[in-house]
Amino acid sequence: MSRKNKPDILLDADVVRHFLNGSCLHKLSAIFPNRLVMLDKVKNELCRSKSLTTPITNFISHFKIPVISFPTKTEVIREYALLIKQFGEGESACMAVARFQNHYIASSNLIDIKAYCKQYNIIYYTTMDILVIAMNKKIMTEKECDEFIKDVKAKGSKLPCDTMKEYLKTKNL
Amino acid sequence: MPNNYFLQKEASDFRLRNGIGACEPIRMKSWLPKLGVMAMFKPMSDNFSGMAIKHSDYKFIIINSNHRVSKQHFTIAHEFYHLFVQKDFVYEVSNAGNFDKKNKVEYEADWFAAYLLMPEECLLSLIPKDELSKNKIELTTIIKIEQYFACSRRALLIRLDAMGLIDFDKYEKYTTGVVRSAELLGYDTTLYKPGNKGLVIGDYGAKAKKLFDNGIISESHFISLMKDIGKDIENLADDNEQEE
Repeated sequence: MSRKNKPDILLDADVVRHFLNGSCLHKLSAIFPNRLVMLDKVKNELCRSKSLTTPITNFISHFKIPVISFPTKTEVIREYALLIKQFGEGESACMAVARFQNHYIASSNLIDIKAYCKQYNIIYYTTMDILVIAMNKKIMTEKECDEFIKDVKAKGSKLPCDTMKEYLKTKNL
Repeated sequence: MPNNYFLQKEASDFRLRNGIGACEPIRMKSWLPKLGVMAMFKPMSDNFSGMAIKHSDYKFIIINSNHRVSKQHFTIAHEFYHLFVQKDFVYEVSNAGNFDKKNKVEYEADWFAAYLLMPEECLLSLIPKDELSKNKIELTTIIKIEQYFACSRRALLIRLDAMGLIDFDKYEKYTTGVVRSAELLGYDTTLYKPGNKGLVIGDYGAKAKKLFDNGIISESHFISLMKDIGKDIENLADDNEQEE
């Protein structure tokens, strides 16, 4: 699928962190070929942790993930200024840009973004959604996904289920 | 010095209100959380001792960690005046310990701090009888007192001068070589050196964690909030140390 046919997906920090902790960051690009982009604000947020600077920089450079500057359009800046009062830097930037530039979002931060995305018809993928897509595309097996969930949770992150079976059951998939 | 009975009373009431004994040295690190004050210690330029902000029930201070720990204690007590005594206080950038009469509020905050940290009765109890007349106080006594109250020598000398026990001019020489003088008597010198850089006291982290645990903020937002207070929680030591 070419970048021109489908909207870009803005990577939020949580999803990147999950895939990094699940040792599957390299698979993200295969799951969404030519669609992933990262806002400079998200990159900066991730790279505030010294330990993440090298893996994030390598990921961006190896998979040629475009890092896009935060837009200078007044409407986006105004929206961001409103969102940042309540949300984190990266997620606020993703939501503001997605709203006005018709991008999708890859964010695991459901409580923060769900209502907003619904209000403005923004399509979003959570970490679990991405695992389901990865399974369907046979990029990851169910066992690999379960290992991923285990590893990510072991590092202190939150995911709604312990196994893919459990998740698919809750979603009636 | 003008009549400061009002400030003495405020300092004494502050101790009473918060259950601090009349002769008890104030251990700031213990009392800050109890008083609901969040404190951050950051290196800053020398002419900036601290800052206080009050917003409804939230009280926040920043302290210059480049200053000696003893001066930091004085600054904290100074900020207490802004936060707990001054009417309609919102925020103030402070240069504590100047006792500058030209700035009424800062002057009052300095004296409040002096009274709060070094209550008169307690000070008197720490001075040997034969030193209780003008300019008789020995350096060893001064060091003993400043160690007890964890206060700066300069602040202590100003306080003793105000009590009529010394002429500050005669004792000003003791404001140099402070570390050495304490070391010669075998005291720990932590008090006289800069410290606490990066320290955060308060429940900011606990509140942020609670928001994350309750799903109100995202993981990234939580990590980012913790980084704002200098805590890189992505690089925490992964050990299983056991308290003995």
